[in-house]
Amino acid sequence: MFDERSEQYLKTIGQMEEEGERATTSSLARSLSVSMPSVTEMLQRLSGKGLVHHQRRGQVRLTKEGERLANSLIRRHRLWEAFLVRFLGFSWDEVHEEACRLEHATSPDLEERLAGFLRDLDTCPHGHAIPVRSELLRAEPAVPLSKVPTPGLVRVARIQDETSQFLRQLARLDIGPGRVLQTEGVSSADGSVRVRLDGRSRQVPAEVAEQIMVQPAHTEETLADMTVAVSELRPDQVGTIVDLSGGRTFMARLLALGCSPGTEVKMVHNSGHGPLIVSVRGSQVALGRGEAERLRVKRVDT
Amino acid sequence: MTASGVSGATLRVALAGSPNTGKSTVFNFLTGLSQHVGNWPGKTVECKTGTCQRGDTVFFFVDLPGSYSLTANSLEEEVARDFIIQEQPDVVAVVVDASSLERNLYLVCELLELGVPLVVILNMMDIADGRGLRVDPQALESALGVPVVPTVAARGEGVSELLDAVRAVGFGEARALAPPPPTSAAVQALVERLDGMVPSDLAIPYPRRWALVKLLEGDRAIAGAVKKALSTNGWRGVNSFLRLHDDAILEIVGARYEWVAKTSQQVTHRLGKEKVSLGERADRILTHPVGGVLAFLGVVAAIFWAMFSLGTPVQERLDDWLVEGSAERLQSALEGAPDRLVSLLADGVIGGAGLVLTFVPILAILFLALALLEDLGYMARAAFVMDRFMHLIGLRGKSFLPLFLGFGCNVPAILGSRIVESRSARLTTILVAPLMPCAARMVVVALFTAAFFGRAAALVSWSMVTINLAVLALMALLLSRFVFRDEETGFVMELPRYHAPNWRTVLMATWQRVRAFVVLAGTAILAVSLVVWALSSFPGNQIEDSVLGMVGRGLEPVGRLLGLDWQMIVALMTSFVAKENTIATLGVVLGEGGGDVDLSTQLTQIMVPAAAVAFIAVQMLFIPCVASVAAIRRETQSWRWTGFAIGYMVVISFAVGIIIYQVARLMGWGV
Repeated sequence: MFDERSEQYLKTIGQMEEEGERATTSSLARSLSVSMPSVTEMLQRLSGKGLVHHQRRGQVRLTKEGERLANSLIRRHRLWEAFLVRFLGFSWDEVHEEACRLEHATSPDLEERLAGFLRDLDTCPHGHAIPVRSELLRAEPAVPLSKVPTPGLVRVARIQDETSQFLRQLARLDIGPGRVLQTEGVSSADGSVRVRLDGRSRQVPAEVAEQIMVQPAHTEETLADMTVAVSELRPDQVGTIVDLSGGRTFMARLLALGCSPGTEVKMVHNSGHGPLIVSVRGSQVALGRGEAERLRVKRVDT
Repeated sequence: MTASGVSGATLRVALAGSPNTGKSTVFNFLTGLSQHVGNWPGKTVECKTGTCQRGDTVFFFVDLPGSYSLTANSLEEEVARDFIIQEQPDVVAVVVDASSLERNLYLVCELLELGVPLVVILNMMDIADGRGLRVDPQALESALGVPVVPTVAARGEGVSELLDAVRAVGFGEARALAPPPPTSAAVQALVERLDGMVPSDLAIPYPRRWALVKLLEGDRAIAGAVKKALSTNGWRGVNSFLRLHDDAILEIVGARYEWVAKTSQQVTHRLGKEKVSLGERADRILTHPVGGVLAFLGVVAAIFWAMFSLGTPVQERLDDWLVEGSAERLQSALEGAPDRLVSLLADGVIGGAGLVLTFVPILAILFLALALLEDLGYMARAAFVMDRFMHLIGLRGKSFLPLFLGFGCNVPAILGSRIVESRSARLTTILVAPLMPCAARMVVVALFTAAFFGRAAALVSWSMVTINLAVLALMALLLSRFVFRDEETGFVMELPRYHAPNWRTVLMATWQRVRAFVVLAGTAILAVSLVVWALSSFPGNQIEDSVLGMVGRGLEPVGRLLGLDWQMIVALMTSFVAKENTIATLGVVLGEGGGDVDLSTQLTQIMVPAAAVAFIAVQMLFIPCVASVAAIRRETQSWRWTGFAIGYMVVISFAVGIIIYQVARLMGWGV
């Protein structure tokens, strides 16, 4: 058995390899919030035990044995998190610290029994895959929200920072694994990311966006979550307004005419180009196409 | 009837309501011919007032501009809102369309929040019935907590009950203040926090709490007032708070609509299913991208036909009788009087303003047609189908109609631009309207092209019209791109339900517009006509010795670039009075010594074709006529914009003229 600090290092290197990141002295120091000399010292110790080996340009990699250990730790951690949330009523922002303590006190037998008990779960509450075998798998490819190149629809895959403080911040933004967001671009001023969620537009600060791993979302199930511009509706189709944007005066005018979020609109006239007519709250409103693109709706089946 | 206790008292009543609720029908029925139409002080927004009497109470009504909410999204809405808040009328009577209750109760909700003495006029009860909707006035009254009076203003039903209710509220006999609709806790919390950031002794002319909510709703005028009252630092804090919560408006408006929807459902009962109305069927054609445009062109053709086949004969008769006839009568009556005086009256007064007045019958037909289409509900459809074309030049659909009218005469085009709601789009429309090739200019074009180009006359005329329209499109695009960029509400417009026109409303609107035109002719146009007359008659007796003649001579260097001599420049100058004057002036200036050679022949003798084309181009694009300038001044309420219109047209006309002359010479037309 190793001490908790060594295990912490192994786990962190394992998580980096899982994400396809390079584990180096400096990235480990940053990630574990320790000084570079102490990282160097620890890596020498782990290397001496045959758990890691140094590579070119300061990168370290787990050996076969190191990988087995790291994987087991990661697995226990995520199993505990899932268990605490599902069966003991913890919320997702409370379990990381608990799991950190429990993972070191878990025997291989307990680990297997937990895994059997939770066999229907694939991920921890933060969206990370629970490893199945002793072998470390590469995580599904995902990028931080802060690096999404073009506006589009993404699904939150997992959250990297699991501290309760950070997760509470995310909860306030209503962001969690599985959520589908519409990104609208990164601010050049402060790196914050504008996203649209359930029709509401919000600003995600740069340091938060870095910790949210997302994947492109285009599968069938996300279509239900997707909002479309009202101009996408064909005549007689109905949609529920989820959001409007595009300048205060414009918004205020639309709202005064009854186009508030949650309102059903029915397309009356839409020839595919030029202005269109919608029916809202019993009256008909003509909208320019450009204006209609700023009014987003969720389709309603009729 | 109960004694009011106050005898002979006057109540000031503000009539509020969204557009298309029959508000003007209510107003017309109440005030009839006692109406006074003016502008709000310092604003280009029409202000109508009128009185009516019942028993010993005099009601002084102010017809507020139609508004959908108390947030100032347009100048009209700001005027209406500020009147209610700052002038504190004794009663606010709000007109509500019973057939579209949900949309209309929103404004009522805002008025309840503001806490003004309120009477709700539940209008168009007949139309609601026709749509299978039963609105219960008693239930609405108890839900709102303020008096509700059902009316059918088109037939005058319920109007006397309305006056009773207004009186009762005005003299404090009936409850007029209801507790405001509840606001959500989230909004409350935001308002509390904002409250802490704004000093309690803030000097703004609005109720504090109400203003804080409007700040959160992003109202520009309120934000401006608060910014002015706060220190720079104080405002910065408030502003960043507002930007952080820029989606608060969704919450606030959403909460209002939730209340509105609930209230509306409580008091409305649906009797049977709504049938597809005639209007909806008509709209399948009238809003169709192709059918709608054809229908609209048909409507415009009908208006033109009516104007020219019914109006023009009357205009000609009036011209004979009023202008020529009275000029002759005047000359014989003033036998022996100084020539100058006779000329002043005959040429200045009668020839200038009098001539303009002869167009009243034509304009009356036009105004009647416009008022009829507006009341019918068709105007919004016309704007809708034309929007895709107008969008290309940076304008929206509503500008099309006034501009199109410019083919007849620029004056109704400018006056008609009032139907364009957004101030920036309206200003753009007004400023480019004088570029429409009006009928008077086409007369000059016809004379010149026929004299110079024979077979090719039609082609040259057509090119001239095309140049004008191209310049118009370019100017509209430039103005909307670079000058009026900021105020953008986009193309968002309610399409009102069609309904049978109310003749009282239609005739009243026609009368008011005709009257405005006559007043314009009698004041501004008369004044400018006299000035131009003076310029063309002093100091010498002949036009060539006058100030105008001297200016013409002074401009000869420019004229030379255009291939024009000073007579032609003077002819251009006098086209300022009326475009057709060009011909008359040429007749006078070239007339002497010309003998019996006709004008066309004379022209071909003194000008080369290249110069003729340049002349027509300049004349087409030149300063609008006196009547148009007066109309621009009246509608923009600004000398700056009037000056701008004149200035840019002078520059463009000469520039285009010079280019055409020089190019035409190079192409060999100069020989």
